[in-house]
Amino acid sequence: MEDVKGIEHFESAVHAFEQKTPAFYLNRIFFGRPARIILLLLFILAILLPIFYIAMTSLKEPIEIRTSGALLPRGQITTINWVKAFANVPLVRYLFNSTVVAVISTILVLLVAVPTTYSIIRFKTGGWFLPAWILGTYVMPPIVVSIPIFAMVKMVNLQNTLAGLILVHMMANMPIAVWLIDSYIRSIPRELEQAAWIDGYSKWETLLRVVVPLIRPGILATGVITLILSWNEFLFALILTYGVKSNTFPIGISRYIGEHGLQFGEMSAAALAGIVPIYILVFLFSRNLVEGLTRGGVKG
Amino acid sequence: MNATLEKYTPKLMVLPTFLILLIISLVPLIYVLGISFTNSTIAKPFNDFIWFENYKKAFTDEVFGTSLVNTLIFAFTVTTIQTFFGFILAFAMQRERKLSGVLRTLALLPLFTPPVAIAMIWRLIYDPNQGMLNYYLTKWGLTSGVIPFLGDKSLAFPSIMLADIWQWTPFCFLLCMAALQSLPRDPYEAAMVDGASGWYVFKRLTLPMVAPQIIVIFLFRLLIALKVFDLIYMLTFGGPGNSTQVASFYLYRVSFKQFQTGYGGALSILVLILISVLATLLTKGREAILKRVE
Amino acid sequence: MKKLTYVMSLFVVLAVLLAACQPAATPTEAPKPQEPAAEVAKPTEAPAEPAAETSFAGQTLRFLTIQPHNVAAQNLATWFEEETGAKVELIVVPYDNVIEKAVLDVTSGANEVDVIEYWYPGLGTMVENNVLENLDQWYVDNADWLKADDFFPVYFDTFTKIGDSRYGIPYDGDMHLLWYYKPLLEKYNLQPPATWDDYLTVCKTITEGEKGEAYGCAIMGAKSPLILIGSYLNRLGSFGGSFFDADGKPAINSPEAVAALQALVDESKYALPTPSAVAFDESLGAWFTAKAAMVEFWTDLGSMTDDPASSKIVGQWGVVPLPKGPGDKGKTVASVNAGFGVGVSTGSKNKDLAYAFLAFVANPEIAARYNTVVGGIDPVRKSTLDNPKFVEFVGAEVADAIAKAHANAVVWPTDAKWFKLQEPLTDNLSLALTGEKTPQKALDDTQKTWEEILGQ
Repeated sequence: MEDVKGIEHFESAVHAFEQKTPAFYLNRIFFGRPARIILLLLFILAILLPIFYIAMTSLKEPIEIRTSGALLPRGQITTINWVKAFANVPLVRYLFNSTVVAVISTILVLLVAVPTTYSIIRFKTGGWFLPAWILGTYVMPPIVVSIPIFAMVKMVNLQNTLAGLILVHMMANMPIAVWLIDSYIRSIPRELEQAAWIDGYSKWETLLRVVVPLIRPGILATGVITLILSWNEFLFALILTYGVKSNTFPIGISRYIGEHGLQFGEMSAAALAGIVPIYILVFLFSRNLVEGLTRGGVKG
Repeated sequence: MNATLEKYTPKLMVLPTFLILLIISLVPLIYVLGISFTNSTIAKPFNDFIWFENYKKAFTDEVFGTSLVNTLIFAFTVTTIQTFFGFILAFAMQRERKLSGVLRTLALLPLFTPPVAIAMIWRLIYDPNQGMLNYYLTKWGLTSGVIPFLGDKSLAFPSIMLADIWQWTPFCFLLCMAALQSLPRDPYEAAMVDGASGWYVFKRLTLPMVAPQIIVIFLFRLLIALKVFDLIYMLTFGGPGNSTQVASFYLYRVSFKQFQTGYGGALSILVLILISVLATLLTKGREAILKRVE
Repeated sequence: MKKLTYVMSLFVVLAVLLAACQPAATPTEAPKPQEPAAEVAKPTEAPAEPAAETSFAGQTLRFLTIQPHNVAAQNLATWFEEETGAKVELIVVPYDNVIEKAVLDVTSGANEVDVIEYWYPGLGTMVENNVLENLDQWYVDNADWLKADDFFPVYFDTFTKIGDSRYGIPYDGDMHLLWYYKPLLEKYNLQPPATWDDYLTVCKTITEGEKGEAYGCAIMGAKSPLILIGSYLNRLGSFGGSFFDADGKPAINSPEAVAALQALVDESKYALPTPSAVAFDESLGAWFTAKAAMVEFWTDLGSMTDDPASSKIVGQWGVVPLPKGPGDKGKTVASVNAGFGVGVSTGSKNKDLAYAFLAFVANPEIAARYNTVVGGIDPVRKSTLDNPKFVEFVGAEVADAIAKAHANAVVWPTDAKWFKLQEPLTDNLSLALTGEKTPQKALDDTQKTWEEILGQ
């Protein structure tokens, strides 16, 4: 019992007091290491299997895809689906459009959301109402407002342009950005800011010179999350854009469904072409992303 | 001059957000509320004022009723399962440091896969004649014939739920993990001294301490789940029968397929009322937890 | 933060790079026909007269088309540009989104579209919402070369006429025929079915004999109006029923209509699992891989099936008209499921160019070109069936079946209310397929809902 220090949680407690009761065996089964490892490996498998499956599908001969659902290609491995995906659909242009929309809308979101969140938390601007309104906007199904939004975009003559989509994505992602940055700003000790005020900083200066540097990880995480949300967005892109000029990637790949049969191979290849850039981002920023997401969701 | 500016800085900071909220939620909502009292079609908005006729119709609309019930069933089922598994997995991972880094990164992947692609993946997996699931079920002799996952009225909804669970369980897992990590250490050490068993510690310590945060996770996820649209749109179109008809999809159908924007507006308002009630719960819950933490 | 800046700049660089190489890669900038198009993109015949008179060099036309006709539309774009110098930008949408896209475009005032390819049951909806230009005067002005009486009357009137006016031209005449895979029928000594009773027998025999290796029939019953109502109309028409009676009142719960739905439900028990989840893709997948012995499909299936890249049953198929219904009222029909017209958008900002394109599409010689390449556009003119090139392209058997089918065509309603009516019908058909409602109950409910909607 002398060495409890540093032992984590309750597993050691189980070892220390080996009471041979049914509850003890239950503990062993459900809290034991082998059970844990198996559980976690299953989890990893479950996540990866579908992704692996489409990767394999994209390498199968079209006729093989239609006849067999086996995971691994049995016949010749082929790149025909990849070649066709890029040849038949202007994927490069779709990826370009998506990139432009996602990057610019993200920058705009951050420019708006950071000061807003700061103001709401430090100066209680808008009282309880503004945060509730922001959250309410976030949980509203976009389909509800699609028609008026379409009309407004048309009013400023931005239909079928990337600029129009950028604005809509910026506005649609703003609430979630505020929600995510919220907890980072709360975590800054008030004393730091008060010190800055005493030094004669204005509120803007305090925000830019004291707060922003401190919440960099939060801004980073929020930025990547809104980038990805914009990249994946479907409904507004479907309604607001026409044709190759402004269609984004999700709209582009949905194009494979049609009368002459769903080309699963080509569609898998096209889908992967759009997913991979996102996955690279995820791997680069996984730590920040996890933190950003979890802080927003749990601690507020 | 400077002092005045300084005084209004906080207001200035929220001004863009305020404008955005006007554009993206208030103005559209007034518009939708307005047309909900009319017999509008898409070409003739604010046609023919009929007061509450649309709302009366909504209350006798069986398909709308089904879609609301389905939405709630969907949201509560997937959220419960996702939170439950997310918690179990997070709990199991607490003491597997080596795996945790890998797992945290992998857990992000489903979350950041475009829903269009997810729908495609699952459509392929479920396909009775060319999909993986049926292929292995038959090959290993687990079923006698193929199972039409998306074509069977009792299997279609669970199948869609499974796709959703694949996508969102990792999200709940990450949130639960953060919740568990934020727990204080001291009570556990005390428990060990007292010689409590694992299950006892779990029941008496971990669960009560983490419960409020789990509830917030549950609600947060629930509100997203109520918006479900993409999977239905791409996998079943609400069928077979009305077994996968959900609110968002039905709204889309009424407004964009049947062009009854007036009626669609009334349905939208009803859906929004339902969601607002739940959203209020979420804000209240969140506030309560904040008070406890601070 | 730095990392984010790096990645952002990386993205921007990437975007610039993509932009730099994009003109070569996108059809908008340089229409690069796909492989099948490449062969036909060099026309050997002399260019057609009507469209060639004006030069539209430097102008751009936007053509709203459906995804399954993407290849055909790209051909049209290439040919039109060769002839007039005008660029055609394609706006490609899924087949079941085209009406909503067109209506939204015009009613919102966005007016991004010049020429629209529309699914004909949506014609009334589009006219009601003032989406399509009235073409009455155009038909008078262009009567000489247009030869409107060459159009199959059923397409000409159904696809273009609302009241006494015309709003478009027939473009793609899609009817269902019954396609069968010979080896499977021969294996069980079966003849292609002449009646729906035969059809059930054939389907049942093969499905039971093959024990899951293959199925006697594939029935498209996925919950989308175009698909499910299409399969139902194949039976409804041949059983002698119809959506509306002679007075235009709903007749969807007539005894014939109920019997037709009962037949659909009975057959679906032996069909490729499971009709409720079978749409084009599933049906085609099973057909190409010899898993379904019979499919009801459009007239261009033959040329698709003979492409060895996607099909395992090249040359092993046959085609007959849809089976006949029972009793005195029973008849042979060819139901016009899908089927598309082309019209000019009232919102077009360049009407001259739009009308030039319309004339181009209507031109019999251009039609002969797009009817003889893989692209899913089936003939709408009688003369096409006599064109030796077309007969060679689809095969004599199919050409013959198409010719015979026209006498028996049944069509979908095109009334403005139809888009409101088809959704409840689809719901109820789907409920009957899953067994949640009996056919009688499903159609009674539909009748009731229709009466309510029409009574408003």
